[in-house]
Amino acid sequence: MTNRWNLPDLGLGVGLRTVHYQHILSNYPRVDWFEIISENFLDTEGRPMYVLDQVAERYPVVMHGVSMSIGSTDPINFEYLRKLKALAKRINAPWVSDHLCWTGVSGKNVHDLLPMPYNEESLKHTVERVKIVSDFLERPLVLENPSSYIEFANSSMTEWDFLAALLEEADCGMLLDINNVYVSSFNHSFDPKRYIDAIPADRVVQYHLAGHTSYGTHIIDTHSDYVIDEVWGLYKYANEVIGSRATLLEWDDDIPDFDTVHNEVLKAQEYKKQGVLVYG
Amino acid sequence: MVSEIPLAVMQQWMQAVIMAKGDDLEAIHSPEATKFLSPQQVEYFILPSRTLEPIERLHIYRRMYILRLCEALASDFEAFSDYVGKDKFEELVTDYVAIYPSTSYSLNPLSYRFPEFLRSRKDIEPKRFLVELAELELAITQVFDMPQSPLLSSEQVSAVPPEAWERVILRPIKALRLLKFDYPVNDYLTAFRNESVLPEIRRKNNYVLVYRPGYSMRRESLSRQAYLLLRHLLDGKPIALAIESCIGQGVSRKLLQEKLFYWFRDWVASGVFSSLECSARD
Repeated sequence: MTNRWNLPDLGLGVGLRTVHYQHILSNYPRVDWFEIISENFLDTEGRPMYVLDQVAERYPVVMHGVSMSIGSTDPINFEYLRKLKALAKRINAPWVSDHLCWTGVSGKNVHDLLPMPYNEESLKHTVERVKIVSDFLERPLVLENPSSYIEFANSSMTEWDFLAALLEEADCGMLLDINNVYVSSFNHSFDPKRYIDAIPADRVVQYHLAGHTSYGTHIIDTHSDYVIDEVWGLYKYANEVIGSRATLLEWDDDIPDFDTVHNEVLKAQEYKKQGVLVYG
Repeated sequence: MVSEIPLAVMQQWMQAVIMAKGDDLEAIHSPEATKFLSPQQVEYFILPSRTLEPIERLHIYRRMYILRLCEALASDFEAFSDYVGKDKFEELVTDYVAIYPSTSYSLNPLSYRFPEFLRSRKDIEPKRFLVELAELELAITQVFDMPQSPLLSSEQVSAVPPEAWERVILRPIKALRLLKFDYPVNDYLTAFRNESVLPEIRRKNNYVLVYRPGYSMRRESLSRQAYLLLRHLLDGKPIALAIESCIGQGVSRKLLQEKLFYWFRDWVASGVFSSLECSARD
């Protein structure tokens, strides 16, 4: 089964990070695709844009944002969306993703992926905003499940039920972050497979994989390490239940050399069920 | 009833708690937070996990907020943060973002008012040096992201008739900042980045040009005389007037005659200027 927009399974990708620019431009490694943090390229005309243009000429590039704040009760920031749309056009991004979260209110930005209460009010609010943003961007909007560290007493449904309803009612895609499912399942004591089972397969466009940091009492999604076996197990399960999708490894802290990051995501080949686009 | 707390109220409250200074208890008791939710409601509104109490779960977000902003600002003010040390830097950042919280989708503008904030502090020493170091690092950060400009070509320069040069106005590239400091912050930053011996911190006028003619950052020390001439040129004065202004500030005519050609040649070759135009005759 594929996703309902027939968006391609791009294969196994790596996040485009500053520390790897030189290596990428010098070697143009055999990577299937890259993902960028959208905001890092919105207000700069310097070397980052030059690098991105070079990369986008040679590889598929997907945009992944952290500041759409789709769940915020602040007005939608159309200035931000205009820049996002222009960047997507410039690099021909097949889809634009962000997170099911809010990042600030009253014009402030906490620069964190803050959790929503999962109830009817939040659902209605988020559905309306997703529809507006999707129409504006004129390309598929894909939302990621965030890692979270608190739960609200006024939630009336699970995160997976909320997401399933949101995806259908707002007609948007999902970036299923396997590590985030694992992290939240530990922090909130739920069965991660139950989460994956509940997500409509034809809405899933992309997977994320990452490492995290366990503090014993809780896990934080730090993107600072290798993917642990339990997360690989969930990724395998998602490939069986949902199917093969474009898969990206996030590594944002203590970033090792490019080959280490790339080799880590290549481990996913073992679990992907269908063909992978190969660069070159 | 916590089940009836609207989304907007929850978000205002949670943001207030995350951004509040002090410890976690002070945060939930802060006036900004209690406008929306009483401290007694918190333990009912946030569920405990099997290992953490509600306030400990909130602490994770509060701690990540400051750490994230410290990390962002430390990448812009690398030498400054190294000088003051991790704990002091976190204290400064905590106070800074309480006054100037981020209001952008991007973390880039967060640094813009940091030197201004430092000027108001009484607890950093040597203060003037540290403020100037932050100003230099901020200039580098800003120039890094500024728009590209076309560069003045040798053909454009050659096309100017000799008799017209005194009336020529040179337009700089956009990605450029010309700075004057009272402390050797440029030498300090260079030594810091090269991991070499740091210079003594005592008053010493220094003049720095930070620019990005293409995709590479450049940072150059200038003499006082070169700084003055470039300052007048960047202010839009025709070349003859810029020279006269320098002389009026004590630069010798002889030195200008000796150096002018070389400065101008180097500035054009290294991409300081974007275009030129001739001002009208008097």
